[in-house]
Amino acid sequence: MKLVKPYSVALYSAEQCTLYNRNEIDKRIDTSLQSSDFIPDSSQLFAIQKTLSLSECKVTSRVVILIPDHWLSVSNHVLDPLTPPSLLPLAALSYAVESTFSAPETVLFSFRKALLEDKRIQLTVFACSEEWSKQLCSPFQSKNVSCLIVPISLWQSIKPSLRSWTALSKYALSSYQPDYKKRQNMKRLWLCLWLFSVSIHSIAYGYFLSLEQCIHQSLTDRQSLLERQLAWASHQEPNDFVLSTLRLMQALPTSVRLVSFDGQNQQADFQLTLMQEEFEPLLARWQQRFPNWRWQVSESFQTSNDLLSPFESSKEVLDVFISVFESE
Amino acid sequence: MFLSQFLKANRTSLLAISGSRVCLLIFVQALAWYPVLSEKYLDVERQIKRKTQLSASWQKIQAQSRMMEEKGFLQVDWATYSVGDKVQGTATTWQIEGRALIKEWQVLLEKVQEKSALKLVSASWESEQDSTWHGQLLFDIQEPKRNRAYENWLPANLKAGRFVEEDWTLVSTMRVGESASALLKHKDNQHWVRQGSWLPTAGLIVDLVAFDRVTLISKGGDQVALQFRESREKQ
Repeated sequence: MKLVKPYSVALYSAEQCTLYNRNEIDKRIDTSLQSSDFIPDSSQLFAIQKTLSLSECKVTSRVVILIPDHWLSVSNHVLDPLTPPSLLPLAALSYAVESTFSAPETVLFSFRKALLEDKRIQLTVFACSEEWSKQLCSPFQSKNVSCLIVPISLWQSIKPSLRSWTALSKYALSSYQPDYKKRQNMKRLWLCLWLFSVSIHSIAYGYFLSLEQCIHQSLTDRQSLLERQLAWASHQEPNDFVLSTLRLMQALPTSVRLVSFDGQNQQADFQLTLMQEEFEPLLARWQQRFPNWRWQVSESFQTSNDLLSPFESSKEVLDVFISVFESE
Repeated sequence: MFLSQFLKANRTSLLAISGSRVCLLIFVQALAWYPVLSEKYLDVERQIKRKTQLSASWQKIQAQSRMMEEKGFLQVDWATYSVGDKVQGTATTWQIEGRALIKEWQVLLEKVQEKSALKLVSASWESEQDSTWHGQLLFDIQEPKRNRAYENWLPANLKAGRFVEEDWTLVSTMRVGESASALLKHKDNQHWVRQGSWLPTAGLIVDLVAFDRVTLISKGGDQVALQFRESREKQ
């Protein structure tokens, strides 16, 4: 994947203007271009531009326009070594204004700096009027192609590997931009903000999704566990009837004897041995306590004791069979 | 022209941004996520906790089932017990059948209740001649919980019927053929009794009538022997 969009190069010469690929341009630049003294006026430039066929331009949206140095006003200056680098653009602007005799707002310029042996700085300033640059760009701008104007000697001074669009835009002719650094910095900050925002939101959203997934997983796990447990517990019936009747047996007074007890589902059968006088109040108490239960009672006198207890004639001992049903 | 200048100035000031403001904006954006994420995180923790609780309880149920299936679950020789149907590989019911004194039953059932969570489904108790109880109990196996209420599955209250020996006097014994009978005096009442008789006022069953003594059994299974005063004093 190529991140950098390719650009085409348009080469102006005295006779024609030709569009080349970036790779083949170096072969096309020959010394004759630079040595000729021909400087076109507007109508001649228009004629030169007529030779350009823009069909290839559809492919690329960016064009670097190379022009011979002498089509611009070029001047050389030597600066004091102590000149701070931030002041160089301003110095170049003043020289450009000087050489082109135009107002600072309308002058386009570019400069190359070189260190001399005595550490002084040589500044080569290329300048032209805004009008001239507009005319140079006109065939491209009419097609909505963005373009950079670079003098040929400047182009040649840049290493081929560094000829990216952004690097070239520093060398291209441009108007004076006092806030260039500042804006560059701002751009970087905005980019930084944008990148961080995107990454924060994507990380947070990813984390959010993973948490959601985690919740979903544990919910389904829990659901399946719950189903198993419910299946296991489904046979259980919340029925305390047997235990309740058993509690009645446990609460029987000392004088009542339980012979047998059988309780299941909604029925309990039991047999008691007790004195006759005790039975009625006991049954009445039970019926009062559990009004919803049905009671079936069958009594029989114990005969065996008759013979043996002449002293207890008043006390009849009963055998009682009771069935209790829990009504729905 | 004035307006355009103003707009241009406005635009540049709009675009102006400092490093600290970038940091602030990033921080604010990160902060905006915080409540959402922290709530989700708590939710996750809550769900995981609920899940682990449930799986722990299910594991307890399974462990209990395995324990109850083992042969040596209760070390007792007078009762047989087994687990019933299985659902999801886990026993659902448990039954026990045996014959013993009510005290022994109590000890056993308390042990069972201590080890496992059971709910009584059906019970059958039969009082036998020798004062033992034949019991047949069926239980639902339940989820083990820490604080279970104790359930009494016995047919009688063990605490009932305390025996006061001073109130009783063996007056006489008599044997007519096979059947032996005795005359007992309890406070002001006299009772003619024989084996198996029920003494309602005291809640006692006559277990045995011998030549010189009478054995009585209380509802709780306590055994007491009554002897003639003289022979008791001699001893």
